Amino acid sequence: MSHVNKNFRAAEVSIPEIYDACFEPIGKSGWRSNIVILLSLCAILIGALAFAGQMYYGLGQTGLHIPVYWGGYIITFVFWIGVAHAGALISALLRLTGAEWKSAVTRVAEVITLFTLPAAGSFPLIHMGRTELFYYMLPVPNNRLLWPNFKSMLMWDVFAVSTYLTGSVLFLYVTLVPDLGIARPRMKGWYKTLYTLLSWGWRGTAEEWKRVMEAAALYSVIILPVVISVHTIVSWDFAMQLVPGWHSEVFGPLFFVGALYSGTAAVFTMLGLLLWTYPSFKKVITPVHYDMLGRVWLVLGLSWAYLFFNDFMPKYYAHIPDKIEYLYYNGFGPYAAATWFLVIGNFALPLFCLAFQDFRRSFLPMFVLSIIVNIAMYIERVFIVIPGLEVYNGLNFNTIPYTYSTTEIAVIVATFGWVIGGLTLFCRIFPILPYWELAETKARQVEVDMAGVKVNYFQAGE
Amino acid sequence: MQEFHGKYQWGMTVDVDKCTGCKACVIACRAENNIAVVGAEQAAMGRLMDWLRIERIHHGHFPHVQVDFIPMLCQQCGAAPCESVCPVFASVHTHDGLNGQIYNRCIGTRVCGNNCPYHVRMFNFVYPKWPTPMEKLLNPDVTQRQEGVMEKCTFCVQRIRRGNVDAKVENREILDGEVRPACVQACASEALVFGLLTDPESSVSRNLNQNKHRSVLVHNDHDTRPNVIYLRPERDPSALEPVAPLGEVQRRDGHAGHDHGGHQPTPENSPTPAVEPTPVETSTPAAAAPASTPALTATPGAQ
Amino acid sequence: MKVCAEYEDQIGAFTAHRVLLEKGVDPEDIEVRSPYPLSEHPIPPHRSKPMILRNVVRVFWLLGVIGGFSFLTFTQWEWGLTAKTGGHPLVAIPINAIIMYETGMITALLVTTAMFFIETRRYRQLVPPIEEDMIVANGYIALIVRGEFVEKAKEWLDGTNARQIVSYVLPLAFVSLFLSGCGTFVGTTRWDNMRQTQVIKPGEQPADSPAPFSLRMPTVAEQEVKPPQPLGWLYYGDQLAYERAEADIKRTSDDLEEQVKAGTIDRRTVNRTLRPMRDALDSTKPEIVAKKNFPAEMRSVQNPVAADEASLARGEKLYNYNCAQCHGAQGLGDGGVGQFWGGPKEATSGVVPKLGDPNAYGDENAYPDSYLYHNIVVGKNLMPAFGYQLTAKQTWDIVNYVRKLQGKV
Repeated sequence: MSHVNKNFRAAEVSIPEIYDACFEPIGKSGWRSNIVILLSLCAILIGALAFAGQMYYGLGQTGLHIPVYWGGYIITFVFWIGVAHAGALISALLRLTGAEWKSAVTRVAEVITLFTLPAAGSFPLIHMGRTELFYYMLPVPNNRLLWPNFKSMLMWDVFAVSTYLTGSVLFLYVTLVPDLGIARPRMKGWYKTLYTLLSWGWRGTAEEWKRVMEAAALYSVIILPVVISVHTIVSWDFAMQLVPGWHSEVFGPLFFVGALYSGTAAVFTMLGLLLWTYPSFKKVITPVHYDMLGRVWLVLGLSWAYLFFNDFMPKYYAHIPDKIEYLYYNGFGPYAAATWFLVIGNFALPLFCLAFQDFRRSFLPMFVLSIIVNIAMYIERVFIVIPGLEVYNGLNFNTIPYTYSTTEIAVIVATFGWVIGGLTLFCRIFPILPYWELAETKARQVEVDMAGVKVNYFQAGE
Repeated sequence: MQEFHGKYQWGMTVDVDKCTGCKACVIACRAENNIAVVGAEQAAMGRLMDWLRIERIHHGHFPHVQVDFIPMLCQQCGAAPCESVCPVFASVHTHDGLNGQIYNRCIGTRVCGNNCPYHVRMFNFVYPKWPTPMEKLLNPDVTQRQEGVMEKCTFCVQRIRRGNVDAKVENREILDGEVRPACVQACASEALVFGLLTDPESSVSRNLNQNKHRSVLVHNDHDTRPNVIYLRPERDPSALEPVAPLGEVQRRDGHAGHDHGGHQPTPENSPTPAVEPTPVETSTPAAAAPASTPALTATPGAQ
Repeated sequence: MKVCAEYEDQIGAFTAHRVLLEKGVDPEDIEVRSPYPLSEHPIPPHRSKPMILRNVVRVFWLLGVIGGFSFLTFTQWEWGLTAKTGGHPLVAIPINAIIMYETGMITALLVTTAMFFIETRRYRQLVPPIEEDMIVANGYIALIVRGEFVEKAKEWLDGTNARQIVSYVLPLAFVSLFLSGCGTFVGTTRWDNMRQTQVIKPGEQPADSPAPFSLRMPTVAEQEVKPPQPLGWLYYGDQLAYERAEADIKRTSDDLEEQVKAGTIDRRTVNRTLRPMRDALDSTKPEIVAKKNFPAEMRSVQNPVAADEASLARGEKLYNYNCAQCHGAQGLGDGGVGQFWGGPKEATSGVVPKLGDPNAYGDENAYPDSYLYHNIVVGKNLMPAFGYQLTAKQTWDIVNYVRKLQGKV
């Protein structure tokens, strides 16, 4: 490969090709996506049944016991919230920094957030002992004159997650409106009705464009602090408690950076699946995109390794008794295998592989790495939640290890099914690639510099 | 240092020296408060529901073993870590210094249970069942909890309220010894003494004052300011083994917490419990003395 | 009644817009619709109103923050057990901060959305517009004219490089909309057949489009009117030779890259090898070869293309498409881009030559047709070389049209 070809050149894809690639998957039902949706529905049904069993029989259906009061549900909750941070990172942050290559991946990231966030938000309800009384947490005037306790970090969770959910749904929708308007004339049947309703009469005039660009800029500016606060507040679910191993000052930034890291891994997983399912996307999602996003991923991984080290090293060095016990329990106790898989899967392997440009530019290795990192990040959440509760600190009266029960696994798999099935369904109904952003990037990239005046111009001879 | 929110403060002293570990208090508590019997399977999973349990701390190795029995119940902390984290105010502080758990309000997030350093909060993982005719044993004064709510020792608040009502009807103050929780009532060796800490003439206050030199508050390094004061056993100083270096953890079976390459602690090197009770000066409301700094190596006979 | 013209790119649309404005069409009657945001220059947005979105969001954010504070503090004071329940922490300020922050943010988000929908709602109805078929499909930009100049607009737009121009008569359009609406519900809804695409694949030509300028320039042998002899391909360079040299460089570069990867040579050797090859290539590029100065040999070259109706018509279209944005529709140097650069070239000011002014360039001895031809092909000063986009015949057509603007034909 000569060094000229490694740069992104607008000439390699034309706007009609972009149009084709973006709107090709809509309405098509391939056997692959059908099977995925079917399996997801089955998973959700089974999970719903398991949850119904849990509602009836009580939380005894889970593997929880005293003192491990928080288990698989909270772990998966934190995991999904982490993955949901992909949207904010890629669409908001890259929009603000003006990265041109973000166009191909923004909507993928936002859609991941759209589905993982409700999955995450369902877990605080699922793990409650009396789910039917969840409204006690809502600050609604009632005749008992009772108000929720805002000193509790679970209440901050409610506010933070619902703010982020609202924000990301609206962000996705408003940036989707132009694409819906553009594709509207080409659709038939109920797609046309849906697109007409959702596109809000979009016409593509200059004023509308100005307004959608302004709205997108504002959203980016607002969503970014929100997303920082969301995972910080989720981390405070742990850091504000007395449990050794949880009460760490560095949890705020640790969780936040870890979330961005695992979110980027999820984006790569989704990109890999998209490229496998829709080969025409290869024109739009190129190795250069992988390279750039891979660099972002590398930087996040390094930051996260730094924070993780800061969480671990002071405890070890100061040799505070109950914290040392906790560390030894993790490294050499029943969780040894998981801990070392975490170290290799989250640090050693990715940070080494991502340092090479050739690795970053290859689709399949990046996909495999993203799967490994996803699994390792899930294990990292297990590593954070369970050992802190399990480790013997002198007063917990048993050291029975916590295991996932069938009910928990069923419910957790149901949320995975929701996310994966939802993403597949979204790709069939709405354009997963943002056509208008890609077309804008393409149009701007053929700017002719007429002695300093940038004028868009299709160059001849391409 | 106890923090007295109001005019009354119920408290308890637990004399570890006197406790024989007979568990009569545990049974009494169970009977009084309708605590469910979870069954062998659930107990094996770790879901025992006893509000009061007996912790055992071993000193030394066989055959020179000494065991301390420490009844662990809700400490009714003055600065309870469980109260601030409940999102719905199901864990509140009453005017007479108790930490109240309101079953109707609890939605079962279990964050209070995580945050309790004493692990005295029990969660109803399953629906409590009393097969006939066991339901005739239930105490009508105490709520029967459903699955999904947290529960814990309440200092037999139903008895306290009964005492309050009686006192009010008769237009007097509560007499010392009038109200006794089930565990206190059942203890054969009178290891548990209950009463108003705010009353300097009550038995608990007198017991405390007489035994100030061996009073400790468990886990007060978390500054929970518990209202249950433990009285350390008095031992012959010559019979006591020297204190082990920091970092050794005492397990239930007597082995050290982590393996130093197979090294077995010698009798001269016996480990002390990780929950090192911190000796604190207890005070009456009249003379509020500042708390002394907690020392991690406790030697008896000091103070 | 409306007229809709579709353009492949922004230049076409902007040029047509300028043409219409010069013909006197009210800017309010022209609407540009695009599938992606266009550069704001050179057309200012139509009916632009000031953006109040940011200030509104700021105000509402503040209200949200204050609301959060009131909500938290007063309600807890009224109903809460804040101070009465013990336990850590007893301080409420950080908690207030967290909740106020979140309520402020969520208010800002909701207001941004609401403002977006309200503001864009002002300009059109919820019902899809009648010109449905032509709007923003396939990446083309639409120019829509309504109002008093609608009939004339159709012919004016003919001269621009539009892909297609359709005029709509209202009742018929309404009927067609109704019928098409029925059709969409009654018609087939097979999963695979959800889209009706009119995508023009790259390399294809739509049936009625004018001569494409975006394809590869035809070689000398392919052109019906040959470029001037004896210079011939000097103007365009020897295209074949250029391409061969380019392929050579690419091949060499690939080989060298392989060697660099194998570790046998270093990057400096690569650069040292390739640089002279690239310099040599550049030297055969036409505008460097025959740049700026009007060569003596060209003086004698005559315009081979007669200035008849057909030529003038073609020339007008090409001029409007390629030249008018700088030189102006009448050749008076007042095109939008030209004004940006400093306006028409006067005695002591200005930059853009006034081609249409017979006093400026009308003298056929001083500025013969071949002079104009030369400047179009190789460029001059700020003007780029159009030799890559125009065949010889097209260039002579433009020259003829310029003469017509000067009044010489």
